[in-house]
Amino acid sequence: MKEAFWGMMVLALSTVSISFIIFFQNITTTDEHNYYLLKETTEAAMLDAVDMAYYNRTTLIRIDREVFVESFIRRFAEHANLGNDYVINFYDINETPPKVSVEVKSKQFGNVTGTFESFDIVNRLDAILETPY
Amino acid sequence: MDKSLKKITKYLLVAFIPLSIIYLLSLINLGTKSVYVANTFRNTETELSLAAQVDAAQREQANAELQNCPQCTVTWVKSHQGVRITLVDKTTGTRIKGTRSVDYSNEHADTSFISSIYFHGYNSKLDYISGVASPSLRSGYSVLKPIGSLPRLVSENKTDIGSINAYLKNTFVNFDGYPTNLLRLLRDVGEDKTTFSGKPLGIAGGGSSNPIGISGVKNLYQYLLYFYDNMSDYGVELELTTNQWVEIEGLFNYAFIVEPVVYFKARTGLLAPTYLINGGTDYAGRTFAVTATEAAYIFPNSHKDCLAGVCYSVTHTILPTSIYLDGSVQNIYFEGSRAQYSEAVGFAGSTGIRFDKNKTSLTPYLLYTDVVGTLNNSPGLGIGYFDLVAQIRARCQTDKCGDPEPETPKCTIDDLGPKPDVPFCNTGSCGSTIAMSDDTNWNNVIGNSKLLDSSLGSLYKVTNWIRSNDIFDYRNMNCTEVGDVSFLAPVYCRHSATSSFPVTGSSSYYYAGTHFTFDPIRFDISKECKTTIETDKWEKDYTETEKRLSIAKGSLARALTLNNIWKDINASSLDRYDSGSILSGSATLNGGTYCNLVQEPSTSFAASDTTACPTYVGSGLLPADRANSTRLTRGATVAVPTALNQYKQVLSGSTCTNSKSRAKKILIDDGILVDDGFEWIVEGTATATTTYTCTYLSATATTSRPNSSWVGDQNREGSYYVSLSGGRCTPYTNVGVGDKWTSWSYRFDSGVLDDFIEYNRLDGRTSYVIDTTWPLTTEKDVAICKGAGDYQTTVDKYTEAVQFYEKRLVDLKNELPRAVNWNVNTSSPSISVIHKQSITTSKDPFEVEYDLSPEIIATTLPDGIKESKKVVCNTTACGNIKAITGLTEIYSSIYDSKNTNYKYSLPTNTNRYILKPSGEVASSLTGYYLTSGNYIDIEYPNYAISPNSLTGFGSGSITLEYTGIGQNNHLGRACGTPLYTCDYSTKKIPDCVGDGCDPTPKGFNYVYRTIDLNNPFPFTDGTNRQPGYNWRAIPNTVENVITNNRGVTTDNVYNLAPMYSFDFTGANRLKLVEIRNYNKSYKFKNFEGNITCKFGRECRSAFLSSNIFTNVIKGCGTVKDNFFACNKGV
Repeated sequence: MKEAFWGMMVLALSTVSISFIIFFQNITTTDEHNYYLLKETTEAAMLDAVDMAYYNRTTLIRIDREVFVESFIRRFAEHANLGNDYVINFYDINETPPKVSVEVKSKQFGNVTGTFESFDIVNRLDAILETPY
Repeated sequence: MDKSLKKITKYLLVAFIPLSIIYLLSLINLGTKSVYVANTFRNTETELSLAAQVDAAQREQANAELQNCPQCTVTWVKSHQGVRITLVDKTTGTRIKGTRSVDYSNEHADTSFISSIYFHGYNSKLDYISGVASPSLRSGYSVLKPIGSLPRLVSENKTDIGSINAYLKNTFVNFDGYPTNLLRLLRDVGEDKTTFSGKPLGIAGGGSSNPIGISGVKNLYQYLLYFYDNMSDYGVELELTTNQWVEIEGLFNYAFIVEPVVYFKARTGLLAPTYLINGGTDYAGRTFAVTATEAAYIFPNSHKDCLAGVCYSVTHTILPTSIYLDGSVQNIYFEGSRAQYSEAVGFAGSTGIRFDKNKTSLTPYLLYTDVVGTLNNSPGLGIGYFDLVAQIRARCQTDKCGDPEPETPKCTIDDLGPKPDVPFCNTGSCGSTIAMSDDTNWNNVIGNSKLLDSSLGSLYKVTNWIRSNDIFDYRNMNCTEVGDVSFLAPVYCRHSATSSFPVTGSSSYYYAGTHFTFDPIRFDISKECKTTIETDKWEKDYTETEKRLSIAKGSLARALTLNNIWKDINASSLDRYDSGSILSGSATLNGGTYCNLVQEPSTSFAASDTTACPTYVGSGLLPADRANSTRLTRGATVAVPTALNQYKQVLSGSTCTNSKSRAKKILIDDGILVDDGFEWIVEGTATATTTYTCTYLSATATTSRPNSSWVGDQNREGSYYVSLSGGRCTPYTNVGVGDKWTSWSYRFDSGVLDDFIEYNRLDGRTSYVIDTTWPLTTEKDVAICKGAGDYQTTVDKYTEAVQFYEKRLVDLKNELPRAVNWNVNTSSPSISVIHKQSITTSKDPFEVEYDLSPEIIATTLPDGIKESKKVVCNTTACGNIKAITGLTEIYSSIYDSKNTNYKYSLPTNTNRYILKPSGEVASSLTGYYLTSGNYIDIEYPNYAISPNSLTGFGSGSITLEYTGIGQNNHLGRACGTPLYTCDYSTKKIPDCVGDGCDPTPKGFNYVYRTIDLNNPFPFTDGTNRQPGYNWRAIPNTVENVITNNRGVTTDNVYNLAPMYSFDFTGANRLKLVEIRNYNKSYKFKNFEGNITCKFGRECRSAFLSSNIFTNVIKGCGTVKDNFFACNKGV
């Protein structure tokens, strides 16, 4: 019996440990996914927003603000996890020279200890387009 | 699992098929290139392996001539012999350094055979002047076959050097798969400069161990090309620096030497020279290709018969000579027999020929046959190097042509070069009004009369009189551009052009995105026409015309005399014919045969002989007979005639109704039928009914036979002659008349002449037939001869000839001052340039190309016309037509030039607008762009260049083509092929407008970087690095935009309200699905039509304002009518 109890305890602890591992791994994965989604989407959207006409005229790189926002949202939606909640905030968009500050927040839900918990995953990215020297 | 496997298999198949196609296409592509390369070489090989079809019959015939000459046999028939062409400096008589001779031959056996031919290297006779102890033999021979057969270099009538001249200029050879003549061959092959990269002109060196082959030709071309590229001006000596390939003293001192090349096959026991059996090598059966000079060495004088046999058969005979095709023929002297050893300056040790032009004391001797250009020392009319270069000189000069990229060709001339400077003739008429005096024209003048060949007078005939074979002779051409050209003065015009083009590169370029001015493009065009009056021809023509006029006058006088005699005869009695001395002998004249009245007639008629009845002429009715004739009925009205050439006899007072054409009025004078020969009642084709009142009462032949005395008694006074023709006659009897006359009669076959008797006057005038029944078969009729006609035609022709010659003399007298006063037509048309220009731009991202035709602003600055005229006359009486024989030279030239500057600029509003967001350019705005404001107005024409290309230089974006230059496109190309094709580069730099413009753009090149707002541009050592150009072009940009963005420092920006905030939480997560659906309908890069800007700025997205984002989007950035509500500039 004694050995059996110990065995049950080991199984219980293992189950809890695995649940924690899965939970935090899920959070980590979501964070990582959000970051790369933010980074890649920002880059693609900035390139989409480059004003060719302005470059033809001045040789300078310029982006259109709302073209960037539109492209970002459309690209982000393509790869977002529909099971997550997202809040996307554009804190700064500078057209010339191009610079953006974007924040993506998502919530991760879990119930490991019997209590339903939510975790906010926040990723911020500041990016620019820079011409050679 | 099975489904998965099937799906995977399906995908693999789907991927495999296109990959396979791509792979196969790649293979095909590689294969195509391989085939192309192979074909390239194959063409060359084909050119070399064109097996000629040797005419066996000709060869056998030639060998038959060598029965006593065991040394060799003819390898090729004579028409297949070749020539060796050498470029020489005619001032020094030496080969141009760095060049080699080229062999041409009509025969072109297979490559292996060609390569087996032994030869002495590509030496010209110039290489042997100093003596060659023992010319070595070697193999590796190559020869080019022209498309057009080589002309004969030697002929019985001497060679027409002009034809050789034209041949070398115009005949083509197959080379590298396409036809080209020698000049173009040299040039076109050398266009591939990469082949010769780094190779100086040390290629040639005649007699070296390397066969010339194609590479030699290429190098020769390169040499010529070098001439051109460094030619500073027309006719000016080249200005070369010491580090250049060769030293060239003058461009136009060069000429071609053309040497005959013979081919023969050696037999065993070839006697001489010994080297043919050299060192144990028996060359029997081998084929040799040697120049005539070398052939002379092989066949010494002791075997000249062999050589003559061989070489006569192969056309060139022994020709230790060559043709300078520059007008200065080298004289070569021989003694009549074997030359002395000491006199031989050719091959050392050889006594076969003497080759010393300085030994002028010797009589020029022609060995075995005639030699071109050496018998009479007449200069050849050859082609000069000058002429050749003139064809290619109209080409961009290096220092005046745009040179955007060192490795990029600038202005390139069309491969085939400009077309020959042929006369342009369109309207109007010019040239001599006098017909050229050649045989044909003379015959045309005189007609086809046989008088020229008759004993009555043969006119003097001259061959090859006056005419020449000048190919650019403007005479006899309708050429408005050269004016009124006298046939005495052949006019030659030469057009030239020197061009300059805008220089591109570091000192001149175009900004992308802005306008440009493209000037000056300058053409200096000139036309030079010269003429030299051929006074010798004029003299010859004048003298000949005088001579012919004299002959014609004499002939005319004689014809008049004869004509008068004939007239007298016709009007006289028959006895006048007894004077047989007038017509001595028989003669054929105008189709008739005149009898020799003195000669006894032949009596050899056999009773059985039949012959076509000759014209029968018999004596006619005597007045007494006529009076007693019962066959005339007076007072009757008859209808005459009833058929062509039929007549009714009518008497005076009768009324004749003529219902036939060609009826003839017949006069009856006291019963004697008289034909005046001229009067016709009706002459025409229409049937007419004409009432005609005859002179005499009419009479109709009755059925009564005429009195037997009607005919056959020519001795009776007043008799006349009738003529019988047609039918078959047999000799009947011979009747001798006096001691001078012998007449014979014919018995007509039954049925012949039952109805007709043809009258024919002795003078041969129109015969006619009277309607009668006259059985002559038993009558004793006497036939004499047929009269052949009078001399009126002869008189007319000689009169015409006299008039022609007299007029020609007048014309010749007028022609000389006309020639002297010749001036080129300078009024119209003028020198011009035909050009086409295009600008091609690309408009990324749509990769659309289009052409623009820039506006042309041309200014013309003619230099006017400069004329020089030189008249040399060694007498003071040049104006005297008789003194013109002393006129030695008249020289006139005219030089017309024009400088034209062209200015190119873009048309107004060209690509003035840049459309957003694509960056595409437009010359006008459509309704959408006009209303949406999605464009940038540059405000002037825009030379658009793809943003991806906005860096450095590029070529080919601006192209100028010139299809015609010079008057009437003389220097242009046929079929519209551009003469010049000039590609200009563009420095692809946008015009700097506004702050921050990069004057030295790096192209559409930038990087995306995530940054730390506190240290956006870190360096590896922990310090800050210099930002990229767009972040430092405007001072304090980093501080204002990054470290102090939206009025707060660094990360504090995240404490501000977002400019845009999207909430996809809760139920709004479904908005993501809506956005995905939207994405399926609209491409990411296609924002056009979804953005509204204010002149390209403050752009708003219609997508963000759509219902998708209801309750999703918020923020200061969404405030309408205030793009800058977030305390944020652009």
